[in-house]
Amino acid sequence: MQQMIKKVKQKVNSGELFRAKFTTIPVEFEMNQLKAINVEESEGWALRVIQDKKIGFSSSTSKNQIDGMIDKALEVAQFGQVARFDFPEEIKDENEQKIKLYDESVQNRSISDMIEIGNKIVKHALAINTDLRCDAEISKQEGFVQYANTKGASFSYKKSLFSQSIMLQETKENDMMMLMESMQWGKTDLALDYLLNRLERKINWSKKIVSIESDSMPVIFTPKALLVLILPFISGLNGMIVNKKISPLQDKKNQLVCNSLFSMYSDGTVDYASGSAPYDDEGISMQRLPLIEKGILKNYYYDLQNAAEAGVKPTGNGLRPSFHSSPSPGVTNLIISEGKTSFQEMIKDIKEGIIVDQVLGLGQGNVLSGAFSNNVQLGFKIKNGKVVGRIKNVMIAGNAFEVIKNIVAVGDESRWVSGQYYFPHIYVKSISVSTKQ
Amino acid sequence: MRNRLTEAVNNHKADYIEIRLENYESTHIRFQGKDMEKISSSQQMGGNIRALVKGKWGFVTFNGWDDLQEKARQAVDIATLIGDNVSYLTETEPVVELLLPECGHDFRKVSLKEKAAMMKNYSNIIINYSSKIQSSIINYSDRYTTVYFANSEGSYIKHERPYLSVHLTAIARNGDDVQMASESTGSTKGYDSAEQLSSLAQKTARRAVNLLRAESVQGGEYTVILDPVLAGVFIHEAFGHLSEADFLYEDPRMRNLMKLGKQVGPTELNVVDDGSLPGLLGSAKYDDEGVLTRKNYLIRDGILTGRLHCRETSARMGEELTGNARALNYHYKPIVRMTNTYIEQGKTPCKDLFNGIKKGIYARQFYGGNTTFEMYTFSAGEGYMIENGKISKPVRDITLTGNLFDTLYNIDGIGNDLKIIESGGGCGKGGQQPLPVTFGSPHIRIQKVIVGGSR
Repeated sequence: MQQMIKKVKQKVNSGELFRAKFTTIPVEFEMNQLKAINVEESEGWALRVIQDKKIGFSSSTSKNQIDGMIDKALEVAQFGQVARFDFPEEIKDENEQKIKLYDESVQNRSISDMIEIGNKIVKHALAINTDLRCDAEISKQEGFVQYANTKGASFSYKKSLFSQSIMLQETKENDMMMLMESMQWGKTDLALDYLLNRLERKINWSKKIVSIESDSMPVIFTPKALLVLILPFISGLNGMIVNKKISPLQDKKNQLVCNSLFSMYSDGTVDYASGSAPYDDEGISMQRLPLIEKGILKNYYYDLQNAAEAGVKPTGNGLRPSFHSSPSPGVTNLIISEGKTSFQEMIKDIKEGIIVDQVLGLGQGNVLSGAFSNNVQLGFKIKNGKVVGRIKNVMIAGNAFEVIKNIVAVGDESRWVSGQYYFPHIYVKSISVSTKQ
Repeated sequence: MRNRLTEAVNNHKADYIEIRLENYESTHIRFQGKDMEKISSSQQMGGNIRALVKGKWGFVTFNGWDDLQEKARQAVDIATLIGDNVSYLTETEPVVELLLPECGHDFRKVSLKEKAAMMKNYSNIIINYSSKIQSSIINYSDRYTTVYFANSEGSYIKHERPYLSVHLTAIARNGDDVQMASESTGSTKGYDSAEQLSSLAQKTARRAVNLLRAESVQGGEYTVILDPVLAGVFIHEAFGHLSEADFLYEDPRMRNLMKLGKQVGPTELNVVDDGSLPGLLGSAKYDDEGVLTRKNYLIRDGILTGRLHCRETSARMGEELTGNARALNYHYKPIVRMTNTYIEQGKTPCKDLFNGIKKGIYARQFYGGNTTFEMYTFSAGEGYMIENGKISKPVRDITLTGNLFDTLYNIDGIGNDLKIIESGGGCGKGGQQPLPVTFGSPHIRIQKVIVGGSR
């Protein structure tokens, strides 16, 4: 890395190199059977330069291409965006010791161990109901990220991830029920039983299909379904969207934008969570950034360029979706603070309403505006404080910015969704529900 | 090259091995408003090897093209570890062929400066359209991929694939109300398709501004007319994915649900997937298992007549090969995918479809679509109420949903204005996204569609 940086330094005013190398081994089960094992190795190098105050970017899968990468980045920089920042001269390692990202248990988990986990999942699913179809993937990943720039700053860290995902399906004439759950963590100590119990409860709730009338009614979003309401906040709080003046949340800092029961943080410092790292992909320390506290908008999140444009400090949210994209503002782990109400209490409180657990068409509408309109792929009807069955052919619609103002209660127990979102159940007063007449 | 690949896949104890090596160069340009937001150039070189041993697959992906024999051994080893049955794979004639694209204006010969100026022009057209326009986003991508494919049966195919897409987005704002409209184009034919988008940029801006005036649609059950874009998305999302045999072949209940010979729609309804159409985004002479593509009727005269296969599903179900195994790139294995999917031309003039509709919705363009088996949902980018057979006020935030089988039966009008759409987006499945495909249809009328919305 250092030798390559030297090469960059010879030709470029200012530059940074980013490298990511990961090996992922998924074991795939399909239709109750082991289907395939994959070994996926990937490595990428990215060079970002600032030449004559303009940004250039190039990437490659091979370090042998470094000369070509430098030439390309310089060529591109002629037309690049004007840089409002420079690369950091110093990278503080305050986080490095503290945040745990790598655990040897992942590497040590053998393929036959993983096959065994898969078999256990399938066996459990078939014990609930022999007619179920079970697909599952048990996967381990490990690798590292390296960074160095021409100012002399550098960092690197190792990371491991273990994940289990399950899809259960029951097919009858003209009806299919599909249920998905997944867990992802930097260590292998995932509580599989907890997940299996949750699946079992939902399968039991699903046995009976019940009808529902179109109306506005109370809705409980499970942690898994909550992104429906959160996606518009993820885009609206993005510093780049705010700078472009296309965010409905712009100019609302320190104002009440949600119900005061609602607090949300972008937190890259949680041990073993998949969005965590000591630094963002530009060398800025990750932090626990309050986005919304007690309903008040506290911060937007930024990368270097957009923070400079807004005249604020970067927040450690400069992320690269993959090595061949340059950094832009992104959320690390999203944490919603727990409330005081249990899921059971929420159900008990509802005379007639629904639980939304999975939706179709997440993010496919005009997310920027806050509008959502989703098919409830998996949802349940509540009648007089009890879950009475599964609902079908139902749409929920509304505007997330409005709905979040009408929170009745926030769940007292959050859980990780996709290893990156720590969400509780959220109970809202009223959402428009449309169904067959 | 051929020797390198052939050596890697030969002399292993496997029922079947294939190798795919890829080299690609790409350029991305992104304008947001007046500013160049991002410009980058990327180069990738990698590959994968897939081995089948006693019914189970081992799959290895990598960057670089080194130690291919060793990697083949690794794929065979992991497949051997789990192989415990019989391998199914429909026979296909080995082919040796070099395929060159019918590329018009080669985008690799167009300077970055020229590309950037062109996109800036589109961005300006959008921003200058109206004072209501707050911003624009222009995404330009091109990539030139060379794919080398070989298998243990003697096939060797070298295929060069140019691909280009331009996405135009206009963002209009009125106070806290932010509306967005997008249009895109994709092509395998070179730079020409990126050069004539001025009127599309105008149209995008107009749509975004019009959305500010539109009211949110009221939720409920409606008669809807879908334009060719949305009808194309519908047939792709709601029906096309159910025709992909990899979801069916092991699942007796799903097989029963999709039994060939079953009446699934009106007799006027014909649905086709055709990867052999010349020069479209979903087209190729061979699929990614080296199988010839062809025209496949999925629904003929309202009756379920065919489905889409890779070599394994074809063998397992005892049905003919269709040439639908496709991989997004070297990180992924080929799986059953659509190519160019469309509803065939009907007989009704488009304007007659509106006759007799008391209260309905004319839904156009799309934001996106999604499906899980028989349940689908897709969002319109633009829409109007229909009152007493006439188009009336604009409405927005229209998402349509329903059960596929009910909906197919409820199609009661098929227009005579078939259009195939080459958009810059693509199809997603199993994490492989966006795979270039086309979809199309004439205007169609459907009864009793559920539309989500306010009350």
